[in-house]
Amino acid sequence: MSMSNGRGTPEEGNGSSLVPVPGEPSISCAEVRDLLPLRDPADAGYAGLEEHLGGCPECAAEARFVYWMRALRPEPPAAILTGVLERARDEAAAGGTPRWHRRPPRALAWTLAAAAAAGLALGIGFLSDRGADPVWRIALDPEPAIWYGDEWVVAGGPVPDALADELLMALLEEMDP
Amino acid sequence: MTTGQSPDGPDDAELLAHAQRGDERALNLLVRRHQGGVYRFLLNFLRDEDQAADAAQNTFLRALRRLDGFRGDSSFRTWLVSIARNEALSLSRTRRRRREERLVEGDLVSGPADAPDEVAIRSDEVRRVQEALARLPEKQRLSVSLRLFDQLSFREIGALTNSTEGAARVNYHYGIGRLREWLDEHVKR
Repeated sequence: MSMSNGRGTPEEGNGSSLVPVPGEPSISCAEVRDLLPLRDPADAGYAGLEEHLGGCPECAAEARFVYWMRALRPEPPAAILTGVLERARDEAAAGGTPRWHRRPPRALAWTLAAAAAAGLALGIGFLSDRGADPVWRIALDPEPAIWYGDEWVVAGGPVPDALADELLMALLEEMDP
Repeated sequence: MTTGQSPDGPDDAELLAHAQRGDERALNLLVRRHQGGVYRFLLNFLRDEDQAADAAQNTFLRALRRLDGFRGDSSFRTWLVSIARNEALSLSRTRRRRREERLVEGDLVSGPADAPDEVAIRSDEVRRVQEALARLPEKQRLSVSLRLFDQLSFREIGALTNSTEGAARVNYHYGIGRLREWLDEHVKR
């Protein structure tokens, strides 16, 4: 059974758009199935969805499946919270202040920045023909960010979050001895 | 700054500022608020409960250390999960290298990533759902988990799985469809 109204999917999380308007067609199966995981059955804002589920056995079956799955979501073990707090306490005790709050000495930061700038200036000619290689493309990024190590800032370099999987893996493979 | 806000507590930005100054109560609240999403993402990435819990701890501590890297152009939750993703990639790489070393030494090669049956479980149903999820391709698995268990938008899921918003939606629906088929066949509901 299809109840498509051709409106496309509604803005996610905006339950109010699902309140039925007199004279307007009901929301579509695709819209309903997009929204099922976000739905709180007690939320009155989803009244349009309720109406759809009442008349569409396929969507009603998917709703039952989604709610059954959602009830079985894995919960985090208590060890995460206790472990984070314990390690944060250890770091605070070791350093007087939380390690994450400490900064490298200003002189060291300036030295690192100067060294990185000098290295960039010296290496730019050598690197100019390497742009096609993914690893060198990262190295030649015009907006180098800070590379964070486990302990602190290491050098100029890419932010791993910004890298695509393939690129990151290529970089890691390249670095692997 | 786009951060999550709880109706009965301070928002993430406020908690972060206090946690950075060493306020343990703020850190406690922050971890409680986000540990579920981070843990489930890691569990579906690594398919090993112990490793997921360890990686979740590392994720929170790493986030606190590199808080300056949070630019506020995504939600704090999305930023946190992106750190978790890097943590998981790094762990996967280490795990793969260890497996290769064992292979060279002539050991039996069998790691948790290839053995969904070994995922620790709380109940038979949870175990079966985790097994079924583990059968899905990675992007479908992560899309289903992030949407179903943590109510992320398709845009956020796309950003976390290196996909577009549309691809995230398609991955979710394919994933749900395959899960239904498999679980209808193997699990009595």
